[in-house]
Amino acid sequence: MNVYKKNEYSNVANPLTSMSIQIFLYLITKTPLIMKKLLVIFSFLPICVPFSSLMADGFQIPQQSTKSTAFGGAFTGYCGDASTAFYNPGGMNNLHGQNFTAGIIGLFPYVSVQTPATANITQTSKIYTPIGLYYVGSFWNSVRIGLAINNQFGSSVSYPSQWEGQYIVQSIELKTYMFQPTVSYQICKQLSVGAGFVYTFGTFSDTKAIPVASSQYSNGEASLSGNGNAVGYNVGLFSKIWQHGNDSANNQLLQIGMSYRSGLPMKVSSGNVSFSQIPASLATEFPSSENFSTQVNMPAVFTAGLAYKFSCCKNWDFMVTYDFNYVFWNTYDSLHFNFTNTNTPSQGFHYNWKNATAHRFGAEATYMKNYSIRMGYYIDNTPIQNGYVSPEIVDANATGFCLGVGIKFCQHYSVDLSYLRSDFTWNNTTWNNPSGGSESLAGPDFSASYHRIVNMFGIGVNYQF
Amino acid sequence: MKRITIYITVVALALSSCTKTQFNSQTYSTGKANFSTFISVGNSLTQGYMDGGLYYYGQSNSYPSIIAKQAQKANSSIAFSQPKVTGNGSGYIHLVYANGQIVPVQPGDDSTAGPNPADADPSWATWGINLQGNTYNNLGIAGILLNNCVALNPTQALINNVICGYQMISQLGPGYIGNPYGRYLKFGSALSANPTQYIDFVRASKATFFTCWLGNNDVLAYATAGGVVQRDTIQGFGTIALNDITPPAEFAQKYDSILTVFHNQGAQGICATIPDITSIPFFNTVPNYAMLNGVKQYLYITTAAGVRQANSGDYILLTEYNNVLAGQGISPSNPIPNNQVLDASEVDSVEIATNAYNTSIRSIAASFGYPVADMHQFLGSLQSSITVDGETLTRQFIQGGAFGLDGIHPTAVGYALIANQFITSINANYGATIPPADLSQYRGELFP
Repeated sequence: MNVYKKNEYSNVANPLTSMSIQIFLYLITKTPLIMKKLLVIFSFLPICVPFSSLMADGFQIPQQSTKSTAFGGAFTGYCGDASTAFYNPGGMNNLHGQNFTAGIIGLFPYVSVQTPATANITQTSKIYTPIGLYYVGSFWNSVRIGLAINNQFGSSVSYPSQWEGQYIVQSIELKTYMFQPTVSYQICKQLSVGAGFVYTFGTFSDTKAIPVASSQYSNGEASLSGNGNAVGYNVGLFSKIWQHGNDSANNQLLQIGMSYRSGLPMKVSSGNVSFSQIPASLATEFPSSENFSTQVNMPAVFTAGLAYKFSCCKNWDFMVTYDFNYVFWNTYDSLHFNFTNTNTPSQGFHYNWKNATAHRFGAEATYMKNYSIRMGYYIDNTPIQNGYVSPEIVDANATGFCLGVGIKFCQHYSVDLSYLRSDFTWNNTTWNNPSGGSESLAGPDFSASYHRIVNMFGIGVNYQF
Repeated sequence: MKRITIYITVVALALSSCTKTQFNSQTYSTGKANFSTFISVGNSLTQGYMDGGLYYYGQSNSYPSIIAKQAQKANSSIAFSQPKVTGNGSGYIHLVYANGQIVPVQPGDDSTAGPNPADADPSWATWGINLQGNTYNNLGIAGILLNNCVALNPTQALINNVICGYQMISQLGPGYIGNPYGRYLKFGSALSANPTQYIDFVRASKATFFTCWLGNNDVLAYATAGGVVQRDTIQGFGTIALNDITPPAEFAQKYDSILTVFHNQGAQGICATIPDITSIPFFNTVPNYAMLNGVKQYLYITTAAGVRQANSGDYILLTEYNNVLAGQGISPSNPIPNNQVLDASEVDSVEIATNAYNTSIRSIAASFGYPVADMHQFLGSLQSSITVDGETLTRQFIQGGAFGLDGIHPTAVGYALIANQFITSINANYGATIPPADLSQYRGELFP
């Protein structure tokens, strides 16, 4: 390299013209040509579709009705409106007549990310608006029929397209729709049980950059989208376990409830991945369109809760509630993608989430049976372990503070308003798969601190006759 | 009750209005490191040589310029200038897509895909002459050996001046032209009374902080020639070897001379070890065997001791690529030429020297109190792969992303990785908090 003869100085290596990489690789291994090339290039481009969260607790949204939001989500022992079809099917017997609850929540997430190289990256997250539609009807004394339609899991996150983590995620969105017909039965005066069948439909989309540069584009782009469905169940148990006094100014009532919502393994059988901004020479590896399949495991949730109602003075009724959640997030261990094009090797990411708990507290004061003010508080533990913290899923141990009011306008109609605020910071996290986990999937080696604020506004209407 | 509702609304609105999640801006600092005159000495790696050429894009992404750019985030007054070429500079290898194949095309080769967009810039013929006398922060010269930076006697001084300078020397055999990449430094007339040495430019640099990554070519020049030592005759000096492995003792003495110059200037700085040459694609791409009817057969190679069949310790050079494809080495009658294979005993010589150099670099640097960025260890880790921010880089030719099309020099993202290694070491040893470069903003190969 140090010797420069005339006319040679511009070339370090000798001409390598008109050689073929394919043939060359053939020489090495004699595996099918394209396959080998794909393995080489594609294997450093993990394609995955993980889901991000808006609230803590992974990508679950525990706030599924306006009123429950004000209670911090502690609603399993309450069973006071039609959303009990979701929170505790066993509690539907606590309702009489025909009950409708409809609500919409506006989730406003604000997320900033700091990495060693970049002081501030701000997510351009979209507003998310889960809905909850609930019905509980009484046709026979001891049986109730219910229906719940809501969005229990979901998120929407996007970053500037050229950001530091562009090879991990540029934008990602998950929406799920749950449809749950439910029945409940009162076994005795103190105890009722209920069960629902859950049908889930989900859609997602994900875009990320691919490190292949060309003269036109600094990167390629992969865009995945798909939908799938799953079935599960929701069972619950409700008891008015203790009652004391029936004077309107002096009475006490303790209700307990338990529920178990099964996991929802959502199969995506024909997702579509499309590649764009791909150099012509790599069109075989990154075709404009191909299909893939995967399975996303939404976790089972066990909840035990209580509600204590009391009245100690004229015109005022009070209630405090508590819920304990245990979420079986360990089913979200890894995610695998199998491509219909057999030349494309299957992909996987390791998340290694652990089961997580949450504590939820709610309180309500009602004046003249018609005007309620509510407060809630929760402590949510994240299923994500340090070493597996992904910018796709901005989550951390978090607390939330909730407020709400309820106004009953007449015998049939009432309106609920709620507000939730959550603010957390998780400093110096990494995603490098420290243990390698059950599978030897390499982590993307991403280090960051996260700060997230969520504002959540809800409005709900109840109709009862 | 209405009042309470209003209170709750006011509290909710007040809380919700605060949505600032931005982190307090980072305070980056150069710590105890004084970057007011930041000087980088080294060879092609330091100069920003890329894809078999010196061109503007490569220089713009040299690791010293990336370090300077990051240090500027701590102190915007840090200046860094490089002797830039125009456009394509010397010309460089680029990829074209023809007949379903990705083909590297050399500069000057206009036959493969028509007019070559990566041909040398017309200005390259005289580049550098008009830059002489300017001061530059990047003093890298592609191709330079540490051995030729410092003279231990007057004869060496004359020889070094001839090798490093760029001048027609009839005494050095017909057509000898010297090193064109150092033309921005004024080495003066050949065979003059006081021949200028590279170390003189180091001395004149008045560095307050330096990076020193010299010494790679003291083994690499030999290795990339397949272990064949090239000799030329200078009248009056006899035959000199141009690319032999520098004897480790001489290496140590010369390395010490360079650091002494920096030390006497009161400069702070950082040194770097020499990578294992077998960690680069130039030696790792062409297999030393062929599959014949499904049977693995080692190729026949020419060594100093004669023709023999290769074994796993012999490395065939990237430059023999086409010939191996065409069947070279299949039989003892068409062995791989000696200058296209680094056989096991030559690899041994290189590794013994490399290890001796690195021992010297570590101990000499330590004696001056200079930290060392361990590039030997770091580039060795590319043997498996390095993943940063979701991007995985390997040493694989073309596909791996880290090394450019000559199989020796890094791509922009490869240089950024190297810059970050220096930055990590500077931060650790000088109490600095210089942010690492964001690798996602640097690319690998340009695919056609």
